[in-house]
Amino acid sequence: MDLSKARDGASLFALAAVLMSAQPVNAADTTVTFRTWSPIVETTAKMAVATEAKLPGIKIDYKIFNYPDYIVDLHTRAASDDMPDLIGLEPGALTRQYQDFLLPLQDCAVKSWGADWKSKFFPLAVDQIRLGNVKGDENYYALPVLTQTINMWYTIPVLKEAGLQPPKSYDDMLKMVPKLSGKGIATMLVGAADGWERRDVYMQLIHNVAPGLIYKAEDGTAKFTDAPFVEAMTVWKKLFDDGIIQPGALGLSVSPQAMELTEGGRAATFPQGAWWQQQATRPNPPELSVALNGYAPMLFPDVTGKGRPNDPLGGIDLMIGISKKSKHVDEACKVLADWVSGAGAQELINTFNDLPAFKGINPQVYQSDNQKAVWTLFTEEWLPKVRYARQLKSPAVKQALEDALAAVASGDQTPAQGMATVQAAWQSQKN
Amino acid sequence: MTLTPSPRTIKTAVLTVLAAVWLVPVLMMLAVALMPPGQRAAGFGGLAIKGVSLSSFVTAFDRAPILMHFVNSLIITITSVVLVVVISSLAAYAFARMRFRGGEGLFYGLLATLMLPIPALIVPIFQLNKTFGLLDTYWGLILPYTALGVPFAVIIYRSFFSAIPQELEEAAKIDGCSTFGIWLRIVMPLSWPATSVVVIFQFMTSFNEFILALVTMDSNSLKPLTLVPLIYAGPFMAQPGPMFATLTLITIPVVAVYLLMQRFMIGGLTAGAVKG
Amino acid sequence: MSMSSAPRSGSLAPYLFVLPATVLFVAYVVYPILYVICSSAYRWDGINQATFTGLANYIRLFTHDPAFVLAIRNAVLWAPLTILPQMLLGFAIAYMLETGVPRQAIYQAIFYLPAIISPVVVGIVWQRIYNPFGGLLSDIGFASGLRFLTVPFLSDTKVAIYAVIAVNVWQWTGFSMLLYVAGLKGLPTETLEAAKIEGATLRQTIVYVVWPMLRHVHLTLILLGVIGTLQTFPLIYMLTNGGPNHATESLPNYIFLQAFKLQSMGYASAISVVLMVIALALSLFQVRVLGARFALAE
Repeated sequence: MDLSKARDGASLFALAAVLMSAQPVNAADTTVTFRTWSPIVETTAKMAVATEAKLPGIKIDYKIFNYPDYIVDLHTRAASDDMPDLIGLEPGALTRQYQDFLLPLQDCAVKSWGADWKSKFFPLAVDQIRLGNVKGDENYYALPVLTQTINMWYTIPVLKEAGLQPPKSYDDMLKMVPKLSGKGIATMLVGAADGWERRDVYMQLIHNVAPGLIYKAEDGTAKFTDAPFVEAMTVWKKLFDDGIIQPGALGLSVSPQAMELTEGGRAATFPQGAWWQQQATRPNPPELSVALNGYAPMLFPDVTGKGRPNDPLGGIDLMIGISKKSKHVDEACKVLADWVSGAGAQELINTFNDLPAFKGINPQVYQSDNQKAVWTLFTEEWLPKVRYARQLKSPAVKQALEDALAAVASGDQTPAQGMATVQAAWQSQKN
Repeated sequence: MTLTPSPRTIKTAVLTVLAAVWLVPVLMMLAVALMPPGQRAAGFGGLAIKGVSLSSFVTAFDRAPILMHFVNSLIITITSVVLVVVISSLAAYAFARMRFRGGEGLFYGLLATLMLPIPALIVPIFQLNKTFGLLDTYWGLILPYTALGVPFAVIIYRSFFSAIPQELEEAAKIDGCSTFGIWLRIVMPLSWPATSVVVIFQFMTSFNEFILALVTMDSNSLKPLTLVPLIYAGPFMAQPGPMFATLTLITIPVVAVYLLMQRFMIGGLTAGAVKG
Repeated sequence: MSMSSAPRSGSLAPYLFVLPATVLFVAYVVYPILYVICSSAYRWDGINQATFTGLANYIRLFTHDPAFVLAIRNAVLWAPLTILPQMLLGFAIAYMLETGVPRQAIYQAIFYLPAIISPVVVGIVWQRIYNPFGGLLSDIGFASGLRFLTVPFLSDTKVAIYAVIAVNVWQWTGFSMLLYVAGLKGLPTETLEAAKIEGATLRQTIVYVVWPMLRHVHLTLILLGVIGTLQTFPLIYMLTNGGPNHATESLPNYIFLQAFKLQSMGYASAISVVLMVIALALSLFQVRVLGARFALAE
């Protein structure tokens, strides 16, 4: 590599493009571009290979980012009219923001799976595609690829060694603390430096205290200052004060720090979603993660004393849209359909990356009985039950809630003050 | 025989303790990178590892062509450093030695932009690059890095030039030297200390920038070293070993550059001052 | 400091000299600034239809935004608390090195190392050091009984900003040291000899002779420190992302959050404009009041 390349970078690339397109081998190929934050590079590579083999004449060019970087990339490209054909999306605010750039996909869905396409997906997957739509807009701007639940996990050998059962109530957790803290084990290990992890815990708390209420507050038919919200916030604070959540949690990121401590055996329980299953398929997993032997999922313990709902929260983990400006809409639709339910989807599901959106796709190989049991629990018991979304619609409300959770946990605000700031944020984004 | 240690011994002791403290985070990075696969560092932030293995380095090296990314970084950084030095010193010379309409206004305009927040500029800069056809090229980073580096360099050069006695330049002028010739043959050779500051600062900022690089560079083969932990993020973020091995690998070339340049940097910074 | 009068060059020369800088400046700096100023008057997500709102973004910024207040407070804390320790510590190290220690180059390299390490490394490693659950400081604290080390440095909203500042000092002291080493090497040896002969103590030599003679280094470091203060982004982004609850927020990090995560490009632009105005005021102050002899020799 030399400086002349730098000097004539642009023209060299133009030249290279001309040369490449002149090659007869590539002349017939259509390249479909794809940008996303999920799945990871290795998985996407396998999916691309499988899909290209099934769809001759199509090449897939993918770019994978970390989520925050992806948002910057997508934003910049949309602002400069430079979108890829296939776009990784989250339901809600993100999809809403890019709606004008996205092609309605119901036609693609009908073409791929017939008029009753919706019945072939898990219900929550279809419901949540339109989470971000303006009222009255019935279009589907993306198709779901992966779904998820949010829940708790426990570390099997840690509980066994301490002679404990997976906690079912707040008191159960409280009783665990003295037996574990001396050994340097967190009763609940939380990477609370990440706003989404704080929010995930709170969503499960409010779902326990008053199921469904937070979505009413989003629509304006309830207030974030109502008693149940404050109660859930008070429990959040108690989790810290009672030592259930480990000290210094607000300064610990989920990835890689909290994950590393968890895999190092220092977490009795921890809030993570169905995606935790993929720890077993990473290269060189630590002992606890091998074949997922060390972990099992559980619902968030009841914190009210009045019983907890038996439906976990969940949603679409990844959905994919097609750019309105795409010159290869048909090809993009074929690729997308294959990733939802075809050979590409099988590759994706084989990695345990998360749960499928399309019914009936299961991993081809299980490494252990526990892994199979966990998968079955997620896909057959929990996923069909999911009624409420993990996500909130407004980014401003989300941020305010995440900030309030940090402020309350650190003692800077009371639970009531914290919820008042959330309500204020809701009010101002509505204006 | 006296029991009081010599000042030299005290100094060495103090410096050694300080240097040891300074090195802890770096050792930590190494320790986690050397951790055997499958092990998770559960205490002392990762310094307490059981056993040592190079396997994370092998994984990291297999996945990321570190050398290629390093060369990209060098091309982008060195070009922008050279451009900043030439462009800024030319402008600063005009500001320091010539009177011209709009000169003062332009100088304060430059000053005003000394501390621009890059996050705010990503979108307009991306649009410019797209208009000029510079997306996914080295120039798409070289030009904005240069533009953003110019204000600081102009200030450094202008104040340095103003402090150089003018007799030399006037003599050269009488001998028939052009203004450009004076800048090139007399002023610049005298200005090594200023140039060194500009080079060091511009080198570090261009080398470490990653937000603009993230959106500008699309082809992996053109991406600079700072993007490596982001490009290969998925597998790394979940695996402390390979991640820290990668972080160590991207640090090594930078340290090598520093060690190569250490003498030049200090020498350059000192050069003009020797005469006092 | 005014524009010098001599030599009067041909009418075109100055324009040719400033042309390349001006072209780049207009393209990559002026245009983005205008873009930012314009969008600060809109309620806009950066992509879709924008609504003109005049000064509404600014009004909200100055009356209703505690996170912005924290970002400003942090900048005010950040400047003196990073610049002074970095200068003093950097000078002390440089002075010890320059007055005779074996293997100087190795020490220099060690102290300079943090300045050239990627911010990604710095962020991840320091979280591990500060984490009170399995982190380095706290485990040392528990093992040795030094309980103050077990403080949750990054999660206590009152402590977090100082913990982040300490990392910055760790990172940039070596850079100050480098400039001071160069400055010290440039000092005329006679001055120091003379001081010695007159029987000045070490303290007197440093305070009355060496320190004042390094004024140009101090000024350069102050300028760079102020620039650094207003541009602190990667360190905060990787270490705390401005948390907890904006306790370690910096202006660039907050701009990033608003622009991309909160889809408020218009509001982010208003913050950028405020940041640029502050930067302008500080630059003018430094150049006009401090005299701006930034370069390394006088």
